[in-house]
Amino acid sequence: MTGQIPVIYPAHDQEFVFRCYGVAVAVQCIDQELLLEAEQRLRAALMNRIEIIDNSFDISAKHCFKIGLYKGSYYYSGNGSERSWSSSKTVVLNFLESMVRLTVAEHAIDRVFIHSGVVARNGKAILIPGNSYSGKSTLIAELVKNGAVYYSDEYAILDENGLVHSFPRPLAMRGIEAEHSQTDVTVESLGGIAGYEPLPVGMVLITEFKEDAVWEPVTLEPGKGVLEIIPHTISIRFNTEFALGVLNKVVASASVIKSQRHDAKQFAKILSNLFDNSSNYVKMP
Amino acid sequence: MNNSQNPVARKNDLVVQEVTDEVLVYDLSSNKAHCLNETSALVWKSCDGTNSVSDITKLVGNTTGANVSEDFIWLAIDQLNESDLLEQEIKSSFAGQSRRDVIKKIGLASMIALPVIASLVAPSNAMAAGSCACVAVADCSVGMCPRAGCNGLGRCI
Repeated sequence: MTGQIPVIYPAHDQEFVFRCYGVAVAVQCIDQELLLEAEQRLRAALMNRIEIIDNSFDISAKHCFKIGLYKGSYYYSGNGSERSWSSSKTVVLNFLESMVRLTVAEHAIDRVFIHSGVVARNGKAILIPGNSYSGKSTLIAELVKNGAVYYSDEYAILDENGLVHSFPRPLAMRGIEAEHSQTDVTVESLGGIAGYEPLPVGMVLITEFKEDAVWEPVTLEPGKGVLEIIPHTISIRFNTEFALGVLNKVVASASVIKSQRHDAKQFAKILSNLFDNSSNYVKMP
Repeated sequence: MNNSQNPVARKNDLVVQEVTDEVLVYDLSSNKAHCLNETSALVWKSCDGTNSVSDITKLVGNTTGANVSEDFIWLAIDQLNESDLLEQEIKSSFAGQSRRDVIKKIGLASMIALPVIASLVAPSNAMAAGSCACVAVADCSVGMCPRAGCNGLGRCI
């Protein structure tokens, strides 16, 4: 490399170091005010399930993120990656929050994080894996309005026995204020309650919204069911054997149902009835 | 005795899990997941390097109690080849027939389920998470996330 003068940034001497689901994370920053804001964001995003670690903790064992303000622009860097820049502090903090959550979800010890909505009825959980913009939160909200207990609109957190643990953050509803923006909605404001007891999974619903969809549920064989859940399993590449073992336990006791679905309001009623009377309701492929 | 023409099931870099009647195989080198149905799993397990295709045909026939043809076994081996689940690729003996033709021929006569392997590539962590954030449009692309644009509020759309 010739002709380039290396940029020397001020030292990131402020640090917020914590452990979440067994994953050690360090957020380093130049100024304390920005770090404090990042800390508040991360505490909320991780539902305060963090344990502060002493700063002398071995740095090599941490996932390290850097944020800062330099010459009028905010930047982010994760685990030694190149800096990404933005003029907006909110954008950089959103990005940091996303990446830290993802890191925790991927590297969690003894837990498998599935990108999935979760509610419970009659002591059993319904998992609805799905990507963003698949209408997951809207459907979860409607299920809560129909009497389901809220567990999460983002992650199904499974332990080694296949039990699902709650992550009941406020529901991130889209389209309330603007088409793509998210608004946090508490479960209480929907007339529902959050559950905290780890539960066995009763049903995994593989579905996507389509306006003219006809609900034609099909029960998948367990292996095919696991194959459908894998794309939403965040640690599948990092901790394959453990993740597959846990998914195997889930499908051993839960039905994996697949079908397109229509409007969330009507569909939530159908699904609630279906789950409550879960016998002879689906055809085999 | 091993014969280089005999199929050998691959063992390295695979995570294998039995799921009721199916077998799930995760290939750590390609990050592909495969679901082998009962019959394809039976063929795969019989590929130990000592069994010829003809031996496997008899083995599968004895295990299932059905009359199984060599074409049926080749149909499984063809898919095992394609999924990279054999140590070495075994040349298919369909002699000019397409897989579809063979399936038609066997399917009508078969008393047991045709061998089927369903596969997918496991996504990267960000793809699995789905709800990634962005600081620039360049973040919203393959490698960071599957979405094409940044909404300006830090979310890929």
